[in-house]
Amino acid sequence: MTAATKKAVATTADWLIYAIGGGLGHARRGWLLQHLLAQAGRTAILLVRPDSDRHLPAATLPRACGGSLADPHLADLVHRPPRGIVADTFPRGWHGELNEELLGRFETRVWLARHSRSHGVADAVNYHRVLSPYPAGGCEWDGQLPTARHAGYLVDSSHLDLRPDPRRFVLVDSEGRCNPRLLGIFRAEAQRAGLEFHLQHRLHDPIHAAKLLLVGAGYHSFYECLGQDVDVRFLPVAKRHDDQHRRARRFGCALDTLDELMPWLASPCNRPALDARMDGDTVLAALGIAGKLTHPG
Amino acid sequence: MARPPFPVAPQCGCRTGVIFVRPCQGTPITACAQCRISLCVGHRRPYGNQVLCPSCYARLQPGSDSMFDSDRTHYISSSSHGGSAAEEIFTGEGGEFGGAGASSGWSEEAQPAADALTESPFTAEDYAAFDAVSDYDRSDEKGGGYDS
Repeated sequence: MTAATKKAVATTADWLIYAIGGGLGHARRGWLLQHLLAQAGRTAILLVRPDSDRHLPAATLPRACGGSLADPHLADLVHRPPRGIVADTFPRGWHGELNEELLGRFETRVWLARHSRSHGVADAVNYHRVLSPYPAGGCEWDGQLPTARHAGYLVDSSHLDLRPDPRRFVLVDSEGRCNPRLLGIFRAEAQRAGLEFHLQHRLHDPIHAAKLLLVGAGYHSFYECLGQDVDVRFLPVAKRHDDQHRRARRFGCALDTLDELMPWLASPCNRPALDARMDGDTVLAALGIAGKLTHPG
Repeated sequence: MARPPFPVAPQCGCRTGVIFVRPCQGTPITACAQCRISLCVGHRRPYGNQVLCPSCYARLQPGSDSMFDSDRTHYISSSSHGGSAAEEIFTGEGGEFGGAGASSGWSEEAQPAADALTESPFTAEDYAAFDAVSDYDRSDEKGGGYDS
């Protein structure tokens, strides 16, 4: 637990971004949202789980760590809450802490609704707005959120350095999930397809590839990479709530079996024509904040 | 960058069917290590550390009652690209491919043996190594929250 989690948190911020989730993507979305709000002249405090912000830049805007709003050191956030809350978690919170009494303390309540295979949307009625971080044409919810405001993908791929290189097949395995046997298969198949095989552990390092295979298909890595100029496939990981297989299959870029590897490597490069750039004005409008950004994200 | 280890024709050089034999329309991904014919996924046969076409595979099987001699008498090719011999088409440094417009003659008797050999080039251990990557992510066991 970091020092920030032990320090009592009080704020006069306009918004609380409640980015409490089991992965790292919540922190990334919250960080993007916090900076969009700052550009629009709104203050926001970002609440994340301990260590889930380890891949974010150092905090220049208010940030706190905690397990949930029920943590004692966050009591001031409960007793003197910001005007609004954006909840990027289950509608009722991590452990059901976002009950009607607690949510009722916030004047404006927004649920950032990502598709989950395990939770319905019934509790969305406790929120004034439901923000869907997908464009209407590529939404993962398939109409289950009729009142949601589509804000486009809440991603920022400007930190990626992906460039086409017709000779290279690059595997990005950030968690080291591929064992040596599988790496040997990838290497041999790449050679038979006339490609050089390269293994990388970080998506954020420069990647020069004709064919890019990512282990995992989480929200950010997925939509960030789909907008790039490489032929990309994903090796989804089974998560408890996030359905990576479903996401990758919807866009036809899942590598589901080993038998699909060589046909993909040997095929001409097919780059998805997806514009995944974030539209900050649309995001703010979905939050009910009028006006244009001076420096759109 | 080394040259690809094999020239790839635009179409699999095998034939499919038993009664109505026709050229395979599969996308070639490799070539037979013996006769150099281009092979799609469905027609490649692992043999040791090599990949063979169904005919060469059948011919090299220990104890097989080979219906083929050691030459490529089972594979007769003509090409619209000028090369008339199989060697000109599938060997060499790969400047010209002979698959498009090529016509091939297989002995009808060979096909049942070929079709019976539809097996994957990967072992059960290979598949297991691949499937293990997608296995349930246990990194969220601290509460099983809304994983991203």
